[in-house]
Amino acid sequence: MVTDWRTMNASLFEALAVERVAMFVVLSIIVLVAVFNILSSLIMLVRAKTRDIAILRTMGAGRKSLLKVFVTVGFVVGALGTVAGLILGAAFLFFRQPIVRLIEVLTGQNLWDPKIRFLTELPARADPVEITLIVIMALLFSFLATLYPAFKAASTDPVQVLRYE
Amino acid sequence: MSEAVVQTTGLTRSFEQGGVRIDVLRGIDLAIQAGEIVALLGPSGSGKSTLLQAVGLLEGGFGGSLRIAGVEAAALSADDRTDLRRDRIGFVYQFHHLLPDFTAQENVVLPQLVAGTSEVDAAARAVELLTALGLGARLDHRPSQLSGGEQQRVAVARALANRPALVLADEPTGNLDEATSDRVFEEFLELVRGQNSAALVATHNERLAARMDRVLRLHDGRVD
Repeated sequence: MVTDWRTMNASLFEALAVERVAMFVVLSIIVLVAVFNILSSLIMLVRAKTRDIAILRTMGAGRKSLLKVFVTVGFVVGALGTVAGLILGAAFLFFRQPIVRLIEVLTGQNLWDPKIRFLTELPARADPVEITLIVIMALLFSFLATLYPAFKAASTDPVQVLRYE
Repeated sequence: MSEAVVQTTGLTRSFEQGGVRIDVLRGIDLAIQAGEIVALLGPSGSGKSTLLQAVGLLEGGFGGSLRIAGVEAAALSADDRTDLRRDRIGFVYQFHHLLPDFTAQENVVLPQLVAGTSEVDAAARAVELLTALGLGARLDHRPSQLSGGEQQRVAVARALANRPALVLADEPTGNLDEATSDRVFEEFLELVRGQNSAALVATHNERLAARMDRVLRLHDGRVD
């Protein structure tokens, strides 16, 4: 009977597959937290700028213009964050071995012992499809996060706001 | 005779508060021609601000007919009212309501950009107006760096920046001392007359009202 190494280590590969899904969920939650940061920042911005928005409305700024302003602000923040994350991620990936060594020096522990791992270096594979999906997801969430505050800004009633100034 | 800039016929406005209907405007008939400056006098609660808000197309929900520069506003959607307000109406408030993060010049440029004027033309118009109001040396100052009178002058310049057919002012100098109020109001009248706009100015001040072309007295939602 012939058995290959994948079959022999089936439980290990199963664990790795589960870990992959778990990591995706964890990373998605991190993106979601970042999105909530954009959402809360924009809500605060709209609240702080309510009077200014009302003045713009009296000047004849339309609801669509205000909607565009706040969607643009939120989306630009999200896009800049995504690009920064992409660059930072690529840098970590590229310099992973020096980073591992730095942590080993700082903690005094051997994090990557080739005798145990059978590999001399921490392996990594950047999947363009996965990266694209993550970028699209981050941008989409950023866009969705802008909608509520933007609609809130656009529906500002200048009469009500300026009456109680 | 050309068509009035503002023409209201039986203009009404009511509010519901706690299940009670409050009639604030009870059938206002008025007409203001281009170049005419009209004072709106009346005690607090007589409906002056509500009339300005209705004529300024800041809110809908009014009854009767309201024509601004020949356009029947009652039939317009909220977006069309916004466009008409942008193109035809300028506002001056008792409190200047300038944008605090922008300089005097930028505050005057902004409504012009909203109306689609190019940045260069808008900046030139802002400089022209602010210089005419004696603020040529304060163009780059923020509202917090200006005195009350200067802030109100910038607000006047902002209201007139788009050369509106109609200027609405709610106690435009009510927040200033008498001497400054006189000076700012004189400059306001001069600029409005200079560009042949119609103006409706709500005030409690009989002395200022006497300097306008006509006085309307509002009492209990009706023009006396």
